[in-house]
Amino acid sequence: MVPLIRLALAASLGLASLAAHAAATVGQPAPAFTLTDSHGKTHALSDFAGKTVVLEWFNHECPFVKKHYGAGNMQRQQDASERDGVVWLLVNSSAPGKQGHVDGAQANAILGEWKATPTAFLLDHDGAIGRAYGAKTTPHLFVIDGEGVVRYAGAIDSNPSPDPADIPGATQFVEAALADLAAGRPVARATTQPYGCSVKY
Amino acid sequence: MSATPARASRALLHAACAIALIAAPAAAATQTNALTPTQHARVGLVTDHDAVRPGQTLQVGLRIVHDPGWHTYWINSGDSGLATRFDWTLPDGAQAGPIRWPFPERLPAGPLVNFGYSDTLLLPATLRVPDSLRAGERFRATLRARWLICAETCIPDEATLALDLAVARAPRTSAEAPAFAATLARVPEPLPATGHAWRDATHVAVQIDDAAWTRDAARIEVFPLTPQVVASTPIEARLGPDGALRFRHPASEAFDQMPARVAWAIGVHAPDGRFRAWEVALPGEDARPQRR
Repeated sequence: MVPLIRLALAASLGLASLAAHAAATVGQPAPAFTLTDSHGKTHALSDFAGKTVVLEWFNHECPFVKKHYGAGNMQRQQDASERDGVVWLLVNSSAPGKQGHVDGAQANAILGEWKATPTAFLLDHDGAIGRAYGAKTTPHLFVIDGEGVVRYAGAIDSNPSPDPADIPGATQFVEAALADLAAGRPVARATTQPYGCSVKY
Repeated sequence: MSATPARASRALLHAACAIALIAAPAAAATQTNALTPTQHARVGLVTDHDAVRPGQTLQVGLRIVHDPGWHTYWINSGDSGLATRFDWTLPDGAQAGPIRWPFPERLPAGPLVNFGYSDTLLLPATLRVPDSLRAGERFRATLRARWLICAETCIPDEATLALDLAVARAPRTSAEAPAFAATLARVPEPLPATGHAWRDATHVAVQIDDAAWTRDAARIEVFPLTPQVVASTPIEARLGPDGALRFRHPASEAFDQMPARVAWAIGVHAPDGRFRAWEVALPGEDARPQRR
């Protein structure tokens, strides 16, 4: 009996420590969420069971976000992903009054202006889902497989700078992770250091 | 983040100087003292010498006077942010070393923590004057400095600053030499050390052997120089009765694998207020080392 109790204790301690450092961790189930999008439609992670999902933390006033949208890097990857049946969700965790906080109409206007066509723009105004994922920066990206397991967490690419001129020489980590998943391979670079503005919780 | 020694034709160098003069007439004209306004900071290029001898090394630094509430970042910027970057344009035969990062401060940003600097900062680098220059000539170089400056919001900014020093038979230190001495005293000094840094289930544990240099500390501050190893929350280090300094800290949420070498900046505050900073690098291990 003693080993069993030890095992249970270890398991509960493990869970406690996970809760203390809440974050989406590669190889672990992604935190569940239900959020309203910029059109007022509700989306749950479970709605996308069987599909690969990309979550991109977004603040349209952040220079690092502008870098990737100004150069078309994000739009290109969103378009390519959707052609491959991948769901791409923007998440806005800026609190009311903080930089990058938008309502649905403002979000739609930005998407139109930037010619960005993610699957949906999710509003996380209380930051609960951002905190559950441990989203630190804009951009900060997570790739979740069809089983709901986190397969990538980190930066959009390998070149931490606000300069669009650094995009062509960078390794696109999310694109590489999606290619690995599509080919049934383990993701080669599964955890990287995200870079950008702090999420404005 | 190392400054790249770059070769430039004289024409290019002149072009760069002209740009600097247009962008920053005050800074380019006098080099020291004068500061150029940038977004939420004033910046300038300063040197510890007014005149240099061929082949000598000198300290050249970017001074950043941040507006209150604004900050720039250390080599490891923490949860967000971005380290300041230097790109030098140098004449043939000159060399530039990497930024010599002074000990940082902790900068909370909501639930995140960053590492960087506020108030007045001097970021030095070592430059070597070409052997080929002669007394009476000028040692000219250009620094393109790029940084991210943040309060709650962040702005990328940059300045191109010109260095133009007299070359003389006898070098002459500048009025800024004491400022460099004070700054360099806060740059962690590499300290050969033995010990271990290993990953356990949720944490990274570190043991630095023979850490008598922390014995009389009133306070010990530890910052991770290597990113993606530990969380950015404050690290509590203790000196054990066996003379080893130890700490165990939650792993970074971006932890991937234990790097081959894990470096730490360790600041030791003496009870009388004196401060010394050390840089200690240890081999990274995937599990607790076996007792020997």
